[in-house]
Amino acid sequence: MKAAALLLLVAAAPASANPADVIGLGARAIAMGGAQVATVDDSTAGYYNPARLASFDDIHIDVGYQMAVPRVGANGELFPIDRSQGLAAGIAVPGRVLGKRLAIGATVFVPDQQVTRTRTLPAERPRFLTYDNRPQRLLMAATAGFEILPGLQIGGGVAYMASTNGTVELQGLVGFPNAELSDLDLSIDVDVQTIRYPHAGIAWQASPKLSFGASYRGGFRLVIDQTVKVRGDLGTPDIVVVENGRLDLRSVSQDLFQPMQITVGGAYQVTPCLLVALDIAYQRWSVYDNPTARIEIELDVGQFNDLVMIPPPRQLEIPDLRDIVVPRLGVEWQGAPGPRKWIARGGYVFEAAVAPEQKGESNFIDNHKHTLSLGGGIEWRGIGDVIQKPFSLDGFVSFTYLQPRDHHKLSPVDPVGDYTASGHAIAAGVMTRWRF
Amino acid sequence: MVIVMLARDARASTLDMFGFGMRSPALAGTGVATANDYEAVYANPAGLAEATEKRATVGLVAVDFRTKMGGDIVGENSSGMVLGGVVPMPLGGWAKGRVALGFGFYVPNQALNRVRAPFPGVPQFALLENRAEVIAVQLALGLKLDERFSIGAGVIVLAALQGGIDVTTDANANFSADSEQRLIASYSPLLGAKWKVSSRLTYGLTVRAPVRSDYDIVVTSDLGDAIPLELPLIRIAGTSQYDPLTIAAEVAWRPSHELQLTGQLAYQRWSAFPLPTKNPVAGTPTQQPADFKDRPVPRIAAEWTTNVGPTTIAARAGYAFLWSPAPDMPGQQSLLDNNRHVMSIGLGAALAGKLPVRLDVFAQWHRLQHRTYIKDPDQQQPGDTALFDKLSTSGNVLVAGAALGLDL
Amino acid sequence: MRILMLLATSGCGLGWIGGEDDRTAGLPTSGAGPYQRLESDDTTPALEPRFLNDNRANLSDPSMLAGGAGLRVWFTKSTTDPVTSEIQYTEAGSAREMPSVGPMRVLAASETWEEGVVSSPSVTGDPAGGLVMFYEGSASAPSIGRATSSDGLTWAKHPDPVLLGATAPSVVFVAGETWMFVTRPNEVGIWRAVDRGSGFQLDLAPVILPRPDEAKAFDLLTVSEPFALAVPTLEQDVTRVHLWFTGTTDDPTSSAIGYAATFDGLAWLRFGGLEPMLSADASAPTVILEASGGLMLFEGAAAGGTRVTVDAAEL
Repeated sequence: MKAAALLLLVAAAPASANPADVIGLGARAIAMGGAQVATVDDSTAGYYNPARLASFDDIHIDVGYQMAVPRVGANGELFPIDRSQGLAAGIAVPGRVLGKRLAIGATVFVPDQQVTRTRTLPAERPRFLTYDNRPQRLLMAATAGFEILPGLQIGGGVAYMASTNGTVELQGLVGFPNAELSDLDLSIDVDVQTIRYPHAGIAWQASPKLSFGASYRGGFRLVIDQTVKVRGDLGTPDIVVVENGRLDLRSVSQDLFQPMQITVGGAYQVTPCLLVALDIAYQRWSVYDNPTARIEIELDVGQFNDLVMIPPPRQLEIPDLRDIVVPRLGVEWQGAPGPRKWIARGGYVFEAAVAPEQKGESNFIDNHKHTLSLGGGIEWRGIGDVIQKPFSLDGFVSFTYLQPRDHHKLSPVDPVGDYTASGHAIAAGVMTRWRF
Repeated sequence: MVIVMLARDARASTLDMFGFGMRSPALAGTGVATANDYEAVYANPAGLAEATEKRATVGLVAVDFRTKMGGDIVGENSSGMVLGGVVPMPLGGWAKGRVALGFGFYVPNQALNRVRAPFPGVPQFALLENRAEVIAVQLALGLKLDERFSIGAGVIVLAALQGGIDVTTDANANFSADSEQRLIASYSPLLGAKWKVSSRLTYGLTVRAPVRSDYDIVVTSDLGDAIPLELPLIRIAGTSQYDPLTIAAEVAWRPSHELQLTGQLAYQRWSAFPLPTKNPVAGTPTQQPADFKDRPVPRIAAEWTTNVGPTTIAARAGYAFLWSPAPDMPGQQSLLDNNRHVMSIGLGAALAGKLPVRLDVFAQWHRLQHRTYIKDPDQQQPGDTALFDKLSTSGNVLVAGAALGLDL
Repeated sequence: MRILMLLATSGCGLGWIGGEDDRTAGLPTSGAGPYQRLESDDTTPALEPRFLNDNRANLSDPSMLAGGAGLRVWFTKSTTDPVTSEIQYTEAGSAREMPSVGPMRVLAASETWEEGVVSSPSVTGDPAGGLVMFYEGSASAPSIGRATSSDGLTWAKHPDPVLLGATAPSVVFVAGETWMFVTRPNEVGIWRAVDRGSGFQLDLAPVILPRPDEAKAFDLLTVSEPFALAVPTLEQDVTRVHLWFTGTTDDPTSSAIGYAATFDGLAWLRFGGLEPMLSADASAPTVILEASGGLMLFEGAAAGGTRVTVDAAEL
């Protein structure tokens, strides 16, 4: 029995925040560079600042589709990284309790191909921390906001993620020397576990033109601990070479890391048509652990035990990621009110690289990123008598430029060698936003 | 070597086991003709169209499985959070007062999805236990056609697990794993209709498509000279959750203003029940089928409502008989299940005025009828012996829940 | 039988599942290894992993460059009865195609010191332009000769050997110096000789030695047949020199290919621990590095080991 053949389900991905952290959520928000903590005005408040939900007068239902295509790689070759595409949707329902504003909301991003994808890779495999698997995750959050004083709202909620832990057991006959003659029965005991992390926010309308906001999003780090056990004989149905053989394999890895994030920001209505917003976000990446699976194996194959050469557990490098501060700037221009109103938006974001130069065995690639976004929309007053409140169709496109970065390896026998990482990413999407 | 495990299996969902929400479980799972709150997203989406207030509800459900196998209790406890909401859409024109959205979530506290299946032949309660550890996400829309007729449609979202794992040794002879796992969203629709014949009599009909969550993981390996043996490609696949196609027809009658009586007859297509695990390697002989049977499910309930000042009080009770779809298991499979008597009670209180809150509680007692399974040596797989000769099953399942709702 | 080209793609050991997409495409790699023999493919005319085969002769010591139709390969063709040894050349579009040029003889023994035997070509780009070949001559007193060419087909020899008492050369150019890696009769290990403008001088000690103290080492008994590649790094004036070589265990007829590397020619590190980069039976490697892969030709064996062939492996 090859020991490590039965590594169990779902080991860890590389650094994995949710897709909203990588791309943003919602056409207006992404077009404005994600500078939304003080100015978000649709159901994506469930992600950007739950407190803002309590400033709504109407029911908001937003449905959109967004796609991000990373074209990143090293030495002029592109990495095989999937695009992220999926449905972004949300609902916000305002109300009043004891005369105070109250609202609930739900926000979701569902990738097309999978609800969540996790990947664990060999230790030295180069991977882009930002793009390799980070956007392939379901985002599901339930939030609520409450107005404590006129113009001052607080909010919070819970977002859900899933990880798996468990054991797989196989028993029967392992074919030897022909493995295809194996006859094994399967038993499985695996949990897809609930992981909850908190959101919280506060929003303050300081004046009719000036608003402030702050939000907190909890971080989490899941340790996935999975075991495979094989029990049985080795040989053929007629000739048993080893009786009662045993294999125990355990894999421990980190999965689905999300950094804690605190965002503060403000928005200023420069003119009745022009809004400017600025956010500063602190992201705590420094607690990130090496996600490579640590594998432990115990094997008993009788007279073949002398031929078994199980390597000792390897020491994994410390990723040594650093905390960063991310500034976001957004502008929005709205046309004159009327049956149809035009809106234009723009934004800029700078994200510093969180990973140091990769000189050793590991290859957690990250670059300084500059993102420029543009977008716009058309807002209609309503549809006949049925829909009497405004609805809009908004779109965005963004371009992220990865500053080229060299990685010089200290070892002459490094299997990857020196490389220059670079690339860009393009995102686009649409969203239709309705009020009732 | 054979490992005998008295194991449990994640099979169907809490929705099918207990119902969804607080009122419907208190009424033994009825609600096709009467649900008009967030519970209608599962009971009958057509009921959403009768909602008049925006309402959000959050609650907790706890389950104690006291199932017995051979005299030993084999069950576990479980709990989860219920979230629900209903939003009458403030549309105008012809749509005014006709459309409502609803959503409902059941989020287990421990596991969103539990994949548990013992070796074929190991006795397990195929339809109970660990069914409570499955997340349920539901969305629905109700539409009032006129004052008597409503229709609705919804979807239940589950996740199926797919992926693969490849283990090799790298150039430094260290074990190296490359694995990818994907939770794929799967959607199961449900449709409903309601006919309010008069102020006293209402009919309801719901059709729920099968709800299924599968897993499929492929494991390969290439370890070179680290270990001088080879394993074949192994496929870890099966079904972790299954609710059958269900067609439920219900009638609700009000002999008086305070009292409502409900009767439901549902058809459940259990004959399509899939085996919990597929064979992991090509050489394993084909498993014997489960051979479950389709079953009717009768339910009756009563709800008595009265006003005490600004508060509306409701007392609820119900009974259901769940006829087991599992046949006798003389052969390889040991997918055990018992006929169940379900008795339920509940209370609700709704405040009107400045703080329109609602509190609902319920309790259910599932009594498993005693059943004895006897294995036939002649019906086992060639070369295999049954893990038991005779096994009796019985027990109880206790469920309780409480929820707080708030009109917005 | 016509010579059959076999190129093995070298697997980088970071394989994926399912076989459709190994998810390693485009990833940078140094090309060190491990390598996998090219898998047989019925849809191609080649008989993978076989690249070169001759029913009446031994084909050995390949030296490969990218160019021409795709791959340019020089190699030794030798017979035992009568005893002949010459250097031949061939081209093919890829590992899985039949040769489009040759095989043809491009270098035969003509100098007195060669004693009628030339073998072990090592061809690389000449910093002065064109191509340069270092080769082994003479069986009784092996030495290294040098020839230049503009097209790889017609060669002009240096009349005298450039290094006496050496075999199996492989040459790289590093920082204005010429480094030649050789084996030496009656000496253990792989040696480096450096030409700084006034002729080749051997280092005082070998750069790679066998590991008789490691019972499971693939190079327990001998190391030989080096192949070197110099690759610039991102660090200015720092070059990484790859070195693949043949190692044998207690059974000298069973050989595998290992790897080591250096930044300065003096301090060498191995890769792979006790394991080879290409498992037995394989020897006399030559490698082309690609952006995210590598191609290796090496000596294999046909007809129960009675004849030598050139086979191919892939990263």
